[in-house]
Amino acid sequence: MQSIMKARHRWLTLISIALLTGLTACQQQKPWALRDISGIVAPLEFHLTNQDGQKVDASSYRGKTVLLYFGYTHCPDVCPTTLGTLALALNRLGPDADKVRVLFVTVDPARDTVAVLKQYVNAFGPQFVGLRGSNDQTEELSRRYRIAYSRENPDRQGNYTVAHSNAVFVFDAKGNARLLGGSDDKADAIAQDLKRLISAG
Amino acid sequence: MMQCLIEPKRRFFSTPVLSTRLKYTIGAGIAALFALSACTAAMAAPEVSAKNARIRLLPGDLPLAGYFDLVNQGKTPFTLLGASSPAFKTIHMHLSTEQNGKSTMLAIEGIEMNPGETLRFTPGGYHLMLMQRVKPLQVDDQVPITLKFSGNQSLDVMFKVQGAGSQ
Repeated sequence: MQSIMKARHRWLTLISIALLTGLTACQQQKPWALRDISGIVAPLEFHLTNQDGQKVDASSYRGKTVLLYFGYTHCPDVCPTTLGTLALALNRLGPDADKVRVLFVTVDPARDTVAVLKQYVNAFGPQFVGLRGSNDQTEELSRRYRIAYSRENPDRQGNYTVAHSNAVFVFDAKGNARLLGGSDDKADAIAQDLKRLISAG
Repeated sequence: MMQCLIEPKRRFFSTPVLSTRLKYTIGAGIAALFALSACTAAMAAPEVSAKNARIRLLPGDLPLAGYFDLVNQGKTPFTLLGASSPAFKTIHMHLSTEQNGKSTMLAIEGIEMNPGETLRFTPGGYHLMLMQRVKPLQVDDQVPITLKFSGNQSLDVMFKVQGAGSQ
């Protein structure tokens, strides 16, 4: 409980700093639609397995604008809603959509095998990548990005849900953390920010 | 065409000729089924209408979400208690919610609706969690789901199957 509160507190601090940074940026140029997290969140770094069973790391996606999202495939509502919004945003980019990759990291590696992930990400589009790691790797990555998740008690059939943070982290082509989105952000706003990031290189 | 000439006993899948008596039994059975379904229909009819009913399809046998808008057109309040369907073995009513910075789902036992009220099952909020498909589904399929209400009432609604990225 305490760690959750701490995590929450950290987030509040981060968001406050982000808001302040956003305010300062306002004076120079148009603000981002999403929250600016430049210099606050760690750069893109991970070692995981993709939906084709290949070992990948952050360098595999260098040169692409990366959206990082944590979820699980047995999530019927929030995860597909968020991924659907991201798919819609990518549609608005036209051919530039290929300059973006959506990395879906499962917080439920027990059920989300490589095969399950492959079917799942293919349903959303060619820019979607499914990633999984061991429990330790997933834990380590969640700490790096301060993502809270917890497996809830299974029902009588053994089905369980995983409560998880719904943040979408946006990294530029060099792997620097730039923006933070959430489940309330609309496709238009996300597309607008992605265009700006892509055109800045 | 050549197969038509093969004598019956050499066919792999031959249709047995039904005895007249058996045909009558089957006929009576079908009639009884029709009568039963008519009964169910007569019991239903709460003053409620559903529209925009849709299911978001995910691959394999992953749990799906069902969404719809429900309007209480009657003069009395009633409670939505749950749903069932021949297409899924288990259906739960859920509410997505955020607690301590984490999204999670709460199981919902019942939702009361006052007269004139609209209840939206919508992405990121209330949804039917549809589990264990009886058979595979495809985009554009129509799936019947029965919504159950207080007072032993129910409403049959056709849900349209939409793609993974649909909202």
